[in-house]
Amino acid sequence: MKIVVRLLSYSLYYKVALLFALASMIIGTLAGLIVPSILGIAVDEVLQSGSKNKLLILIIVIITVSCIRGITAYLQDYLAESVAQKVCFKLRNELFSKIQSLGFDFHDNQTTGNLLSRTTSDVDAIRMLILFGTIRGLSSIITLISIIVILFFLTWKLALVVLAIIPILIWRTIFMSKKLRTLWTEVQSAIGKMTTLIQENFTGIKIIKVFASQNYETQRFNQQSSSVANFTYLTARVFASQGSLLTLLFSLVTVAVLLVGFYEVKSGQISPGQLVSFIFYLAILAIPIRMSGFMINTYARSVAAGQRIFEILDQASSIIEKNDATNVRNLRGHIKFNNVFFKYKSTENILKNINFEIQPGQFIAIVGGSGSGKTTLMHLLPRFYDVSSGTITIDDINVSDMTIGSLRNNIGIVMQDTFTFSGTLKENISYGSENATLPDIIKAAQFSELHEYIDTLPEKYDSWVGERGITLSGGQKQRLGIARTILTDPPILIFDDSTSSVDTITEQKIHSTLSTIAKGKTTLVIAHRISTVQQADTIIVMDNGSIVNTGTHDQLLSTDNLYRRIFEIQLSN
Amino acid sequence: MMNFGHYGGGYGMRGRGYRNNIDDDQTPSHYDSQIIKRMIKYFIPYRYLIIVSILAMFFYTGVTIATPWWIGKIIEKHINSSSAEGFPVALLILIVLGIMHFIGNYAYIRVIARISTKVLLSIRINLFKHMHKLSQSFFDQNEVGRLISRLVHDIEQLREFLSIFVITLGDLISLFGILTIMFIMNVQLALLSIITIPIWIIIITLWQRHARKAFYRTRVTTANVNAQLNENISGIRLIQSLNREKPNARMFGNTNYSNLESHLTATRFQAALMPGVEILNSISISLIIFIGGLTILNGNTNFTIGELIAFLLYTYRLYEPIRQLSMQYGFLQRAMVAGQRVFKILDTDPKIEFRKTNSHFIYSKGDIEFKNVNFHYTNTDLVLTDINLQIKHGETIAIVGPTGGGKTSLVSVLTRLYDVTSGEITIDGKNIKTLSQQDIAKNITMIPQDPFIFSNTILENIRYGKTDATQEEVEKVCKLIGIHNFILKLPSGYNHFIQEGGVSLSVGERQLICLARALITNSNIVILDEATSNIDSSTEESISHTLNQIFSKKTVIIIAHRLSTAKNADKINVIENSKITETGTHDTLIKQKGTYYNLWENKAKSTER
Repeated sequence: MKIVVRLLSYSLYYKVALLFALASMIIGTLAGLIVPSILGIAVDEVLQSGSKNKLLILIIVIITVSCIRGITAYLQDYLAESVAQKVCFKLRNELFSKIQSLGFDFHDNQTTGNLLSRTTSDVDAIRMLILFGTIRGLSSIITLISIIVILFFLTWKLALVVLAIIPILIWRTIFMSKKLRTLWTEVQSAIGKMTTLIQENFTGIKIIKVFASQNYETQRFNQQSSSVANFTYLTARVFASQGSLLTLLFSLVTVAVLLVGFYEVKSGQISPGQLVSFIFYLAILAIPIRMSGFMINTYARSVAAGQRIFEILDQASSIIEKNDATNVRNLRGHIKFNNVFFKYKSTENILKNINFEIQPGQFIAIVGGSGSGKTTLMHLLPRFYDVSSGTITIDDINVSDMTIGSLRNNIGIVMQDTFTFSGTLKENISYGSENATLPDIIKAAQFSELHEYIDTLPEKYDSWVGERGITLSGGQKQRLGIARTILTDPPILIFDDSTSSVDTITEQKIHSTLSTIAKGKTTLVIAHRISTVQQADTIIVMDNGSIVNTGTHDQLLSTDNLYRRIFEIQLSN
Repeated sequence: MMNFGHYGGGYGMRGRGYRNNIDDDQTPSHYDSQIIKRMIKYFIPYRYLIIVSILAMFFYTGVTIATPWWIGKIIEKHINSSSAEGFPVALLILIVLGIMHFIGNYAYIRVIARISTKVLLSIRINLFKHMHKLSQSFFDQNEVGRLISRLVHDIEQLREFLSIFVITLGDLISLFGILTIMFIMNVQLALLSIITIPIWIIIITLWQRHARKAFYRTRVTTANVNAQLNENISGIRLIQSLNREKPNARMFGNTNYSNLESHLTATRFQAALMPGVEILNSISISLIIFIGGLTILNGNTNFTIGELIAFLLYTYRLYEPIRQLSMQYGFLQRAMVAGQRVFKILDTDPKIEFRKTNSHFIYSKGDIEFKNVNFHYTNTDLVLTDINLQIKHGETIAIVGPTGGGKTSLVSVLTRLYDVTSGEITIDGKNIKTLSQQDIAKNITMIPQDPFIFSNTILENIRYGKTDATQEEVEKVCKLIGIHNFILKLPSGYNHFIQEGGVSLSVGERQLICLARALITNSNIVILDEATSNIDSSTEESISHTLNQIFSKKTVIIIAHRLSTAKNADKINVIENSKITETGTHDTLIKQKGTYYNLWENKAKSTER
């Protein structure tokens, strides 16, 4: 119920439209009531009076009333639907912003397909609730109540007979809505799983083609889509049996009314005419009752969908910006890690007691084997994750005291895998710096050794990059990532193994230009190639979540076995 | 007020490099009759059930009409005259009618739901299968979000297809029933009451043309929303690192808004149908009153006032099926639009045709030959020019060269992700075009650049290429490449579930898992496309010996940027600007003092520094 109220409260943002829709409904209903009486007048008076003028006036009245009915019907439908559409629009925007604001830890445990399906399929399911929950729902309830009142005025005894079914009606309704709600939750989550599967299949299409595993994937898809189909069918079955049951119950009431009414008439308590009009009104009552099955179904579905939507909207971000956070501008890049520990939710410590200090403008290299914690360490600085204990300061300000936006604006990080968006090369390079001019973009591309290649393309910087950057090779993508970060021109630069797929010559060129660009910037580089590492002011050697040694290339070569081994392997080739 | 001029929406406003995707071409690809015919094919297996549903519909409609009539009879016979004779039986019949109504209604809804669900499922699976047949270039051009939109949302619009037809059938029957009665009563007035129907048909045909476009537009904007959502969720880490949340929310807001607009326009069309019927109905009634009234006023005695009233009531009723039919027609337009989009993909040529049945070409020796191969992607210049290459079984060859030179393209055409533009490629002398896709997959194992990890357990990820591999086999391979201990350290070991894209693993770890996935297959040809670029050198060094051993019996093609990997190859090919410029062993190429020599010189310089 809470969910429904919360969902319906969204339609209150569009009060004016709702009011107009309501007014249209009332006018339309009234106009509908007038038509039969006009026809009565037509027959009784006009035709018998024999006046052609009156006939003409009558016809004008009929057409006018119909036009009013038409216009109000149009307005009612259009406005109610538009409120529903606008609520969906609003929900979708809210979901989008929420998903964008949630931290890495949330996204680590989510699939794109699942979030996608909550923002599309689940939001769509809400539409019907708004549509039937507002204007049409209201008109059904009004009809229901007013007819029951009329029935009581006609003969209260018969009305009591009708009321007798109401407990049964309520019981069935509760039963049906519970059952449907469970089923719809299954449907919506099955759609989410199916979407996830499709999303992953087409994202990894190359691997599927290479392994020719279409049949295996089709089988998996078959399972998921069958479960969507089965649960959907089950809802239809419940809806069919319960909806028809309500109508059956209603016809039994009619029989009871006739039976009781018969004796009432016989004993002279009521006139036959009264009974007839009672039954007439009973027939009108059948319409909202028949509708109720449909409404319960809509209601159950939207509760299921609403729950999935609010699950996301109510998700608290783990990275919280303090209310009095400072907006930092142009940090110098004096970085300090003090006794930093870090672990993901339930795992053991990934980083243990990390302490180091970097002076502004220094070039730091971080080396270590797979899983030694290098990337995690770098992710703490821009607060992709928060430290479990200890502090990280930049220019002696704790990173958790800065606004997240300004902190990240001061740090440019080139990640291990470069994500490319469907857009032109220009758009992709200037992704982090909206106001960059073309000369700036070209300069950044020149620095990252990408310009030469772009220049050979027929459409140059306007060339299209597919969603996964398929037309670019691994090395080109990495260079795009570097250009993108250079363009944002932050005081702190982080390169996370970002030249691994670039050939040696190009890598050398990039590194020599980097030293120009990085002048005055604090630079942290995770690298495997000794050629990159040895130029660093300080090298940090990591193993198993701890810093095992720090020093310059020459120092480490003589003191650190791990480092010497890495170095020797590369030299021996 | 309603603008049908441009369709690109937020997405069409891109720069010149804008690539065509499946939502750009909006010319109607199928006639309605074609779509209906093809839909019918899907319904044929359920023809008996469909007959049941139609019968149930008739039954249910009949009972719905009979019930009020019977109540009327009861009132007339028993209530008004207070006669108890036969009253219990009359009530019993009413109860029976109620039960029949229940059964008819239940059966109707259930059967229709059953058929629709099954048909939807089979169309969905067909579409999924067909998409998998489409060539890589299709996927290069279409964002994943758009494909999801067709498979999930467009197909959903086809759900009402069957009920539209069954309801239409019922309405047509009642329409003709009422018309027959009217014509029997009075031909003149009957003609008057249907005079507006042709006008309605003209209006609705005009309506259809515009409404159809509006409905189509809603499907396109929905796909745009999907495409943008998908990118923004997949790329979330980059977005947050670049602090792009706000501008992206603004961009999404725009796309979302044009989706809202398109739906509002469609709603306007949908909402306009009913008032139209309403007004036409009143015109008919007015005509009957006017002409009928005039006739009576003029003293013509063709019919009485009573007849006129009865006629008016029938005209009233006549419009109920017309109203229903118009509504169903509106639904049909939406379904047709979705059908068009679904069938358009189903009709997309896969471009790469594989042999359907697997040949007996189980495991090749691994002789590969490229003969005069030229290749370019859609809309690009040649990326491979006149490639001639012979690789003997058991050989390890390396392909080196600058980024963008054509290295990846060379192996992509070998695995038939793309087809060569001209020339041919053979394995053991057999043109690869004569093989089935399974044949190629069995014979060639490729480890592509991006290490793709499925959201599944480590175990399933590794045995992806050989689903019947046992846990022991998997562990053996993992021990060989030294990730066994790493895997055991994970919370549930081999059953550790990796989330989408393997984000919890480093790229190096992902590459090792992909390497294990490739090694578990038995194919004799292995392609490593920069497959170890992110693995740290000490790990690489420690596994290189094992790899050499495994690879010594196979044909191996290595695309390498670390020259050390290339050095030991039997043959090294340098690819530059789409051509093979140098071929030979490490020593001969060094002596040639060409590109390869320069690459080494540079490496040496950089390590000395």
